[in-house]
Amino acid sequence: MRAVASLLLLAVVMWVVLWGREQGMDVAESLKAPTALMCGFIVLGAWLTGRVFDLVKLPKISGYLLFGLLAGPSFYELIAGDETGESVLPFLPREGVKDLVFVKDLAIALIAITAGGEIKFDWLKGQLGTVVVLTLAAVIGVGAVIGAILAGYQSVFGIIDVSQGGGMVTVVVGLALLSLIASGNSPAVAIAMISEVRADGPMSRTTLAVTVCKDLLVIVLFAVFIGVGKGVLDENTAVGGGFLFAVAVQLLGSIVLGAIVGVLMAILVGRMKEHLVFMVVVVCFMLALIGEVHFTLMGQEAHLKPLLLALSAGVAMRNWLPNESAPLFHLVEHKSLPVYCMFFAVAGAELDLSVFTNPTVVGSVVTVVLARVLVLWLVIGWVGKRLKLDESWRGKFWLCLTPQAGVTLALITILAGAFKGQHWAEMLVALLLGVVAIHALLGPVAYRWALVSSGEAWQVESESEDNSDVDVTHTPATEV
Amino acid sequence: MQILIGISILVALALLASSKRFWSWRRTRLGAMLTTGGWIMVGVGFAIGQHGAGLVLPQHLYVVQPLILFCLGWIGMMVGMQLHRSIFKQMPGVIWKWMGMDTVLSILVLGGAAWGGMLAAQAIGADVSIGGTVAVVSLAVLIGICGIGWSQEVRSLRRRGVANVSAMTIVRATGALTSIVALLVYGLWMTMFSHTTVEGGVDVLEVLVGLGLSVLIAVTMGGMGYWLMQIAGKGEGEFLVVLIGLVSFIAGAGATLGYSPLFIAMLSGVMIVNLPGKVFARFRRVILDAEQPVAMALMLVAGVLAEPEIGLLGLGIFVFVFLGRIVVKHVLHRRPLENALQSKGVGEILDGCMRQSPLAIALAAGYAISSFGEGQGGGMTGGEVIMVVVLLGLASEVWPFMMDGIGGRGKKTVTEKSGVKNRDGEKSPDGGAIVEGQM
Repeated sequence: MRAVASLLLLAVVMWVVLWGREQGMDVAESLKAPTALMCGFIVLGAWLTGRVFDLVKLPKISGYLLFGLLAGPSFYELIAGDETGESVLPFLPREGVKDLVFVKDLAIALIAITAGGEIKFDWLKGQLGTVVVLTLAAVIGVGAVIGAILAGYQSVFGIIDVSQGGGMVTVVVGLALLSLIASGNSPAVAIAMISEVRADGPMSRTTLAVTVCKDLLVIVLFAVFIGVGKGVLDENTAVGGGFLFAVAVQLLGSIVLGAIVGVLMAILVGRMKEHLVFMVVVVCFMLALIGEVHFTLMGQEAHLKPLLLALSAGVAMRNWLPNESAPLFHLVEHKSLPVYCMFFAVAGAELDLSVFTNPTVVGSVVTVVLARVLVLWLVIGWVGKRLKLDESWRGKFWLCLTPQAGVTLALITILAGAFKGQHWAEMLVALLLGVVAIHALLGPVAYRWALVSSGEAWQVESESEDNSDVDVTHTPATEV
Repeated sequence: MQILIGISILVALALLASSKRFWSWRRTRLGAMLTTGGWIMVGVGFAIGQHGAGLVLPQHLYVVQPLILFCLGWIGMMVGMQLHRSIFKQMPGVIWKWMGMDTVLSILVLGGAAWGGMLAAQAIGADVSIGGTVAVVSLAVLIGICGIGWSQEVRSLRRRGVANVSAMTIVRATGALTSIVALLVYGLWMTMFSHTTVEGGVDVLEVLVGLGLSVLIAVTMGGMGYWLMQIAGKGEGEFLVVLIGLVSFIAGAGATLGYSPLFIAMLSGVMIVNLPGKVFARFRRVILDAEQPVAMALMLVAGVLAEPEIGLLGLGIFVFVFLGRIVVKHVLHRRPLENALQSKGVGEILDGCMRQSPLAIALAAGYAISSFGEGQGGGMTGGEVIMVVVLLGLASEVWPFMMDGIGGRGKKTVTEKSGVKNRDGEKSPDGGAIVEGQM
């Protein structure tokens, strides 16, 4: 009850502050003060909503996302029925959400380090074949089948709108990008959910390994698809050896530099001790900033990938210097909750609900969602059977690959930027945002159910369970 | 790329700060003075800032302004947490009287001196007309507020032969309490300044509503924090959520309304520390333990923002206020202190009181990043105000060394004749037991 009351009280105080500002009390318009206010609001609000969700056996992550969605601009615009949302006071205005990008960058790096730390070469060696086959099936197999289904749908309803320009090539490029993005899933949700339900077992480990490998493959293929797509649709953009070289350098450079950063971090862990939190935060910021540094390679603009840098750093630390880096992973594991709360709440606030006001787009969104779910179930189920995966989790594994969130949204943003001003691309982006919104909210529910029903949840002892003197009145059931 | 180099320098500094050699150096007199006052970080900020290597520019800081506000909120909350209700019983009446006297004298004499400095600078050609009389008065009051209290660092005093435990109590405890008063006055000043027109009119109703709103937010969030800490239990992640969320929200609320994040956070800190039970014990511990890194971050920001070209106006203010500080802290405080300690040898203690509180730089930094600081009220930008406050702080740190050189002091020991007794007639322990932190 206290969590619900606190949540309501928080909303009231936030509303009072925003009301005060609306009344002209704020004389500091140039100040970024609302960003600090919003950080506090979303971290507390998302956490409390997560607690309420936990009470009703729903994933906390869905609570964080839903809080962000309800506090974000899209929800208010939907209520107000216009693009400004001015008739209703939004908790998180659109500009404010943009200001929170630095939080997201930080979170992505931290989550990627954690994910990298979960990949152990010893385990991977024995499962390499399984992971590779599942990854290829989940990206190429699922993507191809979704593409085939949507091509059929395209011929009847026109999912890629080329009415205002473009031809068959545009449709092919659009469907290829749509299918590829639809095949992806969220590494952030994968790692956060395993942490939330303290899961351990073959399914959660396979999920993590496949998700990370998938992510890598999707990023590579996406870069290629975007490059080729721009090359064939835009006469001014040529696709050649230079482009492929730039992509290769970006990916390999990110992996190599990330590994170096990881080794350095592991060496520094022992020296930093009390300042470990500081070191982790600064390194994550640095990784995010490195991604912002653009350079030119053989005439192609390039930049390193923060996600890969951080992932590679995590893998290097865990596998090359496991003892030295152990305190760092312990710290990240036990203190990353605020980061998860902020990351998923911001991801929720970024979701665009306006697509659901357009019946044509809604029809396409529902079709893509159904196609994705169906194909995941069929393809992963079939491949799992061929690989003779354990029956106790084989039938549920596909559910672990359903959530989508931050990385997918980032890919959609890149897509929107790459084909800016082209009608078909704008419609495709709207469609994809709708698809991600549904999978972001419902995917974690399915994933959690799969982990719990397979018996892999609650296998890792929690920090609070280690404390024998924990006040029982502080358990979630009695708090809410 | 520049910001990357800047961050790399910070990482190197953090590594240096964590080394054993640095920690042993901190225990020396000079080390204690430089690290506790934060002068090293001010210097580093200046060196990497716009007037140094140009690696971190003020516009870079505006990108991370939420983090700066977070630091201000943290400091505000820490200062507020010094005011536990038991302190009213523990502290002898003489300290309260002395604190009140220091506050009034600082605002009147130092504020007046700042005004005098401005008028003197104007007489020889400086332009103080920007923003009108309101801006001039506001700037003078701000300088006066920055002069309230003194540094709570007592290690260097002890090394100079001040062995009296009561003297330590006086310097530390009164310094801590005056910090609370300084923040209170600063909050009132900023709220009033927010609702003042260029012509000098003050909308009293708006000021009262603003103050009411500040208190309401602080009290509500403090009370809610009690619930949240209970919900969080002992989990480290959940504890961090509450800590980060509360501090960010409170500081952000203050700044969003155009008031001081330090002020509202301080009110919340007072609320939190006076709630019953031990729910907030861990919260308080973490807030106090992180004082050094948070304060250092603010000092670094101050160094980056500091504008060395203060001109005649800044110079005038500096000279007048420094002289005013000598009068207030060294001359006017002598008699009450001698009466309190029943001792004539209070010179070293007064030297300690001469040193400016590190909070002054936080106040100046808070002013500089607000919209007021972006303007040129009274002819000075926020960066110039920081520079004047930094110069005053440095000069007041150097003062005891100068006195040692001139008078050959620093060998005498202030013996404990009677000590300072609290209201129950018990002798107070070292000030650190009553108050914690250095701000």
